[in-house]
Amino acid sequence: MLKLDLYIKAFSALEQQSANLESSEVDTKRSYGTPSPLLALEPDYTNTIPPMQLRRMSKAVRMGIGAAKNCLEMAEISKPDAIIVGTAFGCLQDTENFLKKMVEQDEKMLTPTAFIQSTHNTIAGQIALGTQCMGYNNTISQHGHSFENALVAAALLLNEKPESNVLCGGVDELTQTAFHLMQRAGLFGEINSEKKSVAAGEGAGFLLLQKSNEAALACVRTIHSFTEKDIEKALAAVWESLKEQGFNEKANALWLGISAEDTMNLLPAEADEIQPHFFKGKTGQWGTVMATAICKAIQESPDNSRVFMVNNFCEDWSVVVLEML
Amino acid sequence: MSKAYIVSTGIICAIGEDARECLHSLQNGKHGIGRAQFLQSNWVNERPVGEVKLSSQQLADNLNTTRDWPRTALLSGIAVKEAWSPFARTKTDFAVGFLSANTVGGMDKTEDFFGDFLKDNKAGELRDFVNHECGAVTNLVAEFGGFKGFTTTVSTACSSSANSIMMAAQMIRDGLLDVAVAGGADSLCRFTLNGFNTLGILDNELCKPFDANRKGLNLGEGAAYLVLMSEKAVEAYGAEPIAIVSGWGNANDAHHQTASSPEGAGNKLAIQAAIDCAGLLPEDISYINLHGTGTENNDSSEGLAIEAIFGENVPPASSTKAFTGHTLGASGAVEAVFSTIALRDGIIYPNLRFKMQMPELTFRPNTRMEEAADVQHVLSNSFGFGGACTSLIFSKC
Repeated sequence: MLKLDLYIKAFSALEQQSANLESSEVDTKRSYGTPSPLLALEPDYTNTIPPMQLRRMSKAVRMGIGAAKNCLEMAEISKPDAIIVGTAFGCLQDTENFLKKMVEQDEKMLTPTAFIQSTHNTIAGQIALGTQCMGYNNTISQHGHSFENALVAAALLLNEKPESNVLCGGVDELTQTAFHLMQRAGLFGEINSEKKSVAAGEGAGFLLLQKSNEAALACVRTIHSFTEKDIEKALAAVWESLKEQGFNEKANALWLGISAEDTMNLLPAEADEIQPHFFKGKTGQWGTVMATAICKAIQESPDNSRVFMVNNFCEDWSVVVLEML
Repeated sequence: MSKAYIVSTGIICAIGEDARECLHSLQNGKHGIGRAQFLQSNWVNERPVGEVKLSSQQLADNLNTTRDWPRTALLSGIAVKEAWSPFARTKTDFAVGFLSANTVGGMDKTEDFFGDFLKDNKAGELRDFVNHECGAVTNLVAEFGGFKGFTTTVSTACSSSANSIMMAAQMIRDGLLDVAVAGGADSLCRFTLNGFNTLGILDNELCKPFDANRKGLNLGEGAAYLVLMSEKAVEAYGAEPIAIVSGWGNANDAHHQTASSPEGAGNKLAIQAAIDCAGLLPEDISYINLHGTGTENNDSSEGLAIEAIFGENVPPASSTKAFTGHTLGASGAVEAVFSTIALRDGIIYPNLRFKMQMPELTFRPNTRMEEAADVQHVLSNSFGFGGACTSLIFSKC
């Protein structure tokens, strides 16, 4: 468990809606149990990104800039001191585009745009470019811990430079190919349990972090991340982690990004007083969903409450304690 | 608060399969760049690369693992094994952190998979895409090494492993970790070769970093790691510190997605921040291991940034990429290992193939292998796409 004490001055995350991945049309007939993905509702970028650039930008980069920019506006800051992005899969669409052309055209007549935008740090780099932030810039790609580890990087920087405003987010896009392959790998659909289906998702969520509690809305107190393949062991470790972080005495709410079936095995009878909130019903599932979930938890939780959050993505688990101020 | 002591290193790249072999090549002016033997690409005849001289099967055999691992993971595993082996049998209570870095993940496997997949989306093997992500490569090696502590992957293009070393040093400073294996890996693949090729920045001959007639970079591959320990851990393991990670600076150029600003604004910020972080002055630096890719743009921006900070007193500087090729996400760590050896042995490396002074610079790179030099502090630069700029300083303990 790492004690981070990251104070959140502002936050912003894109909303999700069930939609057809191919046409982006809203899927009104979505029923639980079918793996129809939840796609990010993108903001109007007209005032954020010049049209020439917007045309060439992949969804991951657009979403990242959109949420980051909104977060900065909420914090009334035009230029942060540092930018940290967690992204599990990076810029998938551009990677696919370049890969596809490379294979189909047999390595001939290729153009650089997709390649140069396929780098994982394109999102953080483009936010730096857009805000002219020449400070610390980092990108973490650690599967289901990408955003959680970005928070750790933020804490390390704030220990060094306590006056900094750190813009820290989690961004991942869903592409048709990735969706198809993740389905083949059994990532979605398999963990459906009764009415708590977990759909594939995508999104961008950003927090403006600072060292002091001045004008802060909430605080990420502690974080515990671990990787465990065995589900029983993992759930036991999550429960231990919750207890260690004061769940029994301090929790006012429990936000879970795990399936209902796992929840029944996670919580012992004495924890019955707290009704868990399954956030992935609204957001869907992706590697950096915790960034969006934290934004939603701040939005929906009363002042002076403590929200314990648990997330699971494949073998990666994390427990975050969020304190509302 | 503890210093981050470097107690061991591990490396594999085009000039050697371990630190001893690499040093031998460096001392004898033996570079590792040429026609690829293992990388499958239409460009192998025209674009020389710094390839590790072992097939993926041979790497897997050496590691006693499966060929299902992406090549990046295999390279990573080899270097991690070398770095960690002195301590692998020592039992302590410390959770060992693994802070790795890469940019290509399992792309070599994905490339092979994708051809079949494009024809039929039910085709191809699951095992060929499940390790596509950067983090998957790290997890394979973390499990192999038995590392149970904080595990992460940095992916900031060509500065990736400089940042993972920075993060590890920060965690040791803050007492969040006592032992960290930190560095990175990247293998050659068609994706990056073709990508850099479309940008027109690959030299079709051997690269000439910091030369007026430089024509571009040669891609390379490799992996390198430092074992970093806190004072407490040094004692518990009975380790012998070689050097410390004394300073770091991370900044962004905020100029262009791929190109450096002409004056190297971000580079300058990173170098200055690293010097400040180490509590040093520019004149304290004994040697600069340049990023020095050999592209028109990088070497000019980096050179001007160095002059802006060091003025007329630029210390001996060289790019070792003329030996190894540009190992992308691994380069920061590869050069961190070279910097550590420079401190340990009092060595300053030559910048191969330098002939003509760059007109915009007043300094020229060091071209001789200097042994018995007084090396106290080494500055190592890593710059990359997305404006990424990180400088590290390694110092004698």
